Amino acid sequence: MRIRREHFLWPTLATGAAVAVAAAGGGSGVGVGHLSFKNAADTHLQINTPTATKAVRSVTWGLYRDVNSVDPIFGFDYPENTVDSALCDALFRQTPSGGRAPGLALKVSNPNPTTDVLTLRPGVTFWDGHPMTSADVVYSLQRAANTKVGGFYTSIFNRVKSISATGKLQVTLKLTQPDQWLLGELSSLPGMIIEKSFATKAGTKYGTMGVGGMCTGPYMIKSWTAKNGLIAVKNPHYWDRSIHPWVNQYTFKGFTDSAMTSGLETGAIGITYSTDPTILQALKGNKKLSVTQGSSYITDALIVANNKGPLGNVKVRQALSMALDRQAYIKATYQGAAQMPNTLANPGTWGGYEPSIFQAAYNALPSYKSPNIAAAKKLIQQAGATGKTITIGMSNQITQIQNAATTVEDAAANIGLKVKLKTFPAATWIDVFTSAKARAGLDAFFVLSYPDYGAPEGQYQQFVLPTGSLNYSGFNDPTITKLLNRSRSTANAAARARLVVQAQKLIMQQLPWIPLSDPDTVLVTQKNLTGAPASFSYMYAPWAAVKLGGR
Amino acid sequence: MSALLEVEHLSVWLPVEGSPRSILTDVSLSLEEGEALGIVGESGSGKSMTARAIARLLPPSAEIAGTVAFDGADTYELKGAALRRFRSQVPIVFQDPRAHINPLRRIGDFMCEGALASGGQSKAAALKKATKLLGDMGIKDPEGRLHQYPHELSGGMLQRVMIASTLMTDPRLILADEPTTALDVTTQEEVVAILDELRRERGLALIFITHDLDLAAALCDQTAVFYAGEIVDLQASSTLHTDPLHPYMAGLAAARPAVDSRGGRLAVIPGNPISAYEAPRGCRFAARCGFAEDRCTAGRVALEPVASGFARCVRAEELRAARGAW
Amino acid sequence: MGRRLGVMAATLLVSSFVIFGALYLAPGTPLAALSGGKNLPPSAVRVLERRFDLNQPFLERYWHWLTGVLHGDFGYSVVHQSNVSTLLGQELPISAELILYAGLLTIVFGIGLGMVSALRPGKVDDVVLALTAGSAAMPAFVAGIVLLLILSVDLGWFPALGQGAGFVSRFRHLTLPAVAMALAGFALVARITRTSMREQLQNEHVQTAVSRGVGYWPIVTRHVMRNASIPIVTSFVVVFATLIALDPVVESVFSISGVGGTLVNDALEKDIPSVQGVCLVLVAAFVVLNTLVDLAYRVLDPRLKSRS
Repeated sequence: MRIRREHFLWPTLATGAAVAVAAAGGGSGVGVGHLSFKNAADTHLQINTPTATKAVRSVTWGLYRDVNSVDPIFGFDYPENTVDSALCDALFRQTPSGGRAPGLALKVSNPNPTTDVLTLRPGVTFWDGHPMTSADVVYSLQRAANTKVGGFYTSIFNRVKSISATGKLQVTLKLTQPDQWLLGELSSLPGMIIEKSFATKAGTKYGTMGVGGMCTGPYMIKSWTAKNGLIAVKNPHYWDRSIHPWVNQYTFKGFTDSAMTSGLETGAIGITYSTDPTILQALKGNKKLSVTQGSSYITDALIVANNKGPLGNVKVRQALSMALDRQAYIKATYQGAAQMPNTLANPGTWGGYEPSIFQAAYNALPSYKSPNIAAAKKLIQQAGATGKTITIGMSNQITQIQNAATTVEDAAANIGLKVKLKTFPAATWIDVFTSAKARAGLDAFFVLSYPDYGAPEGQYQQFVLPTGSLNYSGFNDPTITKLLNRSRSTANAAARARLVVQAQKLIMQQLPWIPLSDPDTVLVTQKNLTGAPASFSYMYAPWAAVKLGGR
Repeated sequence: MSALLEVEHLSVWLPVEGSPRSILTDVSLSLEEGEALGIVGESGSGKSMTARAIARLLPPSAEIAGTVAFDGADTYELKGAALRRFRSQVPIVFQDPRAHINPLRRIGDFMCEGALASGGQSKAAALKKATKLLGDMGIKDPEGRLHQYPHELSGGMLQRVMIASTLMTDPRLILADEPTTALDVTTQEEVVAILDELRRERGLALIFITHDLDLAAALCDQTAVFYAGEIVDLQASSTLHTDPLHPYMAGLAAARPAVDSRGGRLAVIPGNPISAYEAPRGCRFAARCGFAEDRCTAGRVALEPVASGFARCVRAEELRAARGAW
Repeated sequence: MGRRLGVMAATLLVSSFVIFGALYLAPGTPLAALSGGKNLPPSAVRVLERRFDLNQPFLERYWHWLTGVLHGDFGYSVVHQSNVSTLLGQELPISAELILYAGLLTIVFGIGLGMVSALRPGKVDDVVLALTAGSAAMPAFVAGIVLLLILSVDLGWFPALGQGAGFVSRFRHLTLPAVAMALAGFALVARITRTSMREQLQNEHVQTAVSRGVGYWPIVTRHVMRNASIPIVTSFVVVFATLIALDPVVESVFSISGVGGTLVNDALEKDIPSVQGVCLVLVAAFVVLNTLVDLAYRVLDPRLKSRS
């Protein structure tokens, strides 16, 4: 069974965009981590690991399953994100700490608030040596936005009126409203540029095993078979001369949990991210391995799915949240590889801009350190909900969800609520998210979700906006909606951050979701390998691939 | 000159559930070159075991006392090649050729394997010999038969194959263990005729085991009558019916007219036969014997010379003298 | 032979229909695999469903698939984004090698130990019986993990993952998985060998051979083993059936890129063409195996030949 927790992580689908100045600077080949931000809420979490000093011939990169596509607009999960990040460049680059740096676009300028003019980097070539031009960028973006192509990121272009080449190295996006979120998304998979001529020839088979892809990234596909996985080698003509990858060849291959463990222990697998937390202690105890906990974008929460039931009452939601024993849950489930949450966005997402504003707002929020049963009980009584039953969807075949369900059950029992658990097999757990029929009768169920780029609003918008892809209860707070939509259009970073923290405060009062924990990124490498960031950037940028090397 | 086969005081026990169970007790007999001996008895009386003990075919777990000497050599001292050579000199014709011939191998293979195992013959020579022997047995198209499988031959034909196979190694003694029981009446006669002819033409010694008293008497020079693992009466076949030495044999002789001369069972004497292991200490026939006295069951009874033969009966002389009694 | 082919075709047809139906009725969609189970935008779902014929009615899909297969097109795997025939071409040889290797180990060691056990009653026999009881009771995945932990992780004698490339490397990579797979069937073969050899040793024709002065080993090989070979060969069907059934588990444990490991995952993810492709091959393998054993019977047992 290859079902594991990674199946149940959900990214954001940003629905808007606003003009923005953005963090896209002007220089060429800006290096790594110019924002050397450390997750301030949990200072022990790492962004980087010690720099590599030695070249390595070949490394196997363990994924939880094989890659099924290298088409960025069909990349929506760990394996594809990881591989696409090594193969392709986006218009902007997420830094290891979550900031936004120039990528294939050198800068964005705004002749007016609803026009983004992207200046493309000169001298970039695809693996086949063809130079990248605005035609490739326009093609890639239009393709990503085209609902007829069927890509997974169409909705992020919903404020985009037109995408056109206005110069050999200039692309102009006309918007209906200013859109900051779009720029964030363009630093993620939908912003990755593929070669037009290659892709038009490949048609719907672009990115599949038999055809492969054509990108500009630091690694290029050498071979790709079901038997041997995807083998990528260093791109000798990579445009970014400041980058000197240490590893000549990566093999990206899927492994089951047990195979991943033995592969790491025997040295067959060189690097992997987000390994099953249940084996973390064993891996940590292995002298041949380095295990690093890093900041991440992931939020672990309970989705309130029904506003007509007891959880429709905000007091009941607050009471339940107050009564949860999160510390015990984190210890049991993550073996320490998760942090106490104060909000519904992981502090790892603050790296995009103005971390200090987010930090201050975070500190000002009440903390969940230990359960407050007495106060919670009182809230339940006030709500007149004592003795009422909430139905929670769970899968007892997924350890994390089972532990979460137990935690909620205990909390509910302590405050006078009854819990009915509805169990799904691991294989059909996803139906809870995709099928209204499967969700019928559920008051709540569990989720792990993350945004596509470093910004808390990227996380919030997906469940607090009425159109949010993970808004299952029809949650609609006009104030929150207004604040978030304004933030989307606000170019000034500090002003934008302040709007977001205002919304955040209300969100944490309203609790459309109830936070459980902030899971860490876990990086496991052989001891003789180092350099890869321990942060979530491996999902969106090539740092892990280019910085890993021998020590 | 010593006899070809000399069996002296042979006793056999086989383990049953861990403890030895008596099968044969104190069997003594001897056979000259070219002589035929019939062994007669009821089922379980030890006839077949005697043949197996002679041919060294008892299971390794068997306990054996006494001696079996073939051509002057103690057969139980033989090992390896010598043992195999000995066995090829005393082949057995088994009762049921269907079961005793490997159904998965060709007749030719069956015929030749003993000869090839004892060496000295090429495969071609062995096949030639086999062809000839089958022809001698009156089998048509002997060469074709060699390529056939046992299931393609009739029972009688197969028994002829079995007999022919014993001759492949130019044996000196053939042990025929109820060779006709599994066959129909006509075939039985043919097989008996073949055995008789063989013996006469080739001067082979023969031990012919049967429960058919008349058949044994007709075919063999001497006849040994078995009861409960012992020989009770051993004498020339010619006098067997007229001068029975043991009350058991006398009973059989007396009952003879009442049964069909062929295939007649011996159980016409009142009472049930017993096995060696359940036998009492003294005379094993005593319980069914009309002449039993206290002394019959007092102690072991030995096989003693009586007249021209031997009998295992304390009253043998006495009863023979009073022949009128039976 | 014509009848046999007919039966084979019917078996394949029925099993493909049943598997197709079961997967069709199971909840979920293969698209979930493309997104790691995340909510896809409706436009993407529409496009992909049309591209992969996911929303056609059952019979239409099945018919489409079936006609494709008859034209040599095994369909397209949504989960792997590849032609099923391409996937099979890459994965099947590995699984076949693994199963044959495991089968060879099962048969050689099974028959070997069974013979020793049959011919040496007493202590040797007891040891063999204990050994086979132990190995039969050990599930293949447990055996696999134990072997992996001891021989690869701790001692580093064998590679832990994958299938290697080139003969020597492939051999080294497949040894532990093959041993793990062989353990269960090996016990079966050993016991059947032991039982049927014991039975044959008691058999009257063996006594005949002894009485003809045939030596020990010729008797063991030409009579005992020769005749015991029929039940032993019969057990090969079960052995290979077991190996095929164990293949997915063991391939997963050792991360071998054969059809088995893919099968489990693809069934969960409702990748019907991929599962169908593998199942067709497996069913065909079974039918071929049965045919081979039937033919072997005819060679081994002359009585069958003349009766038919």
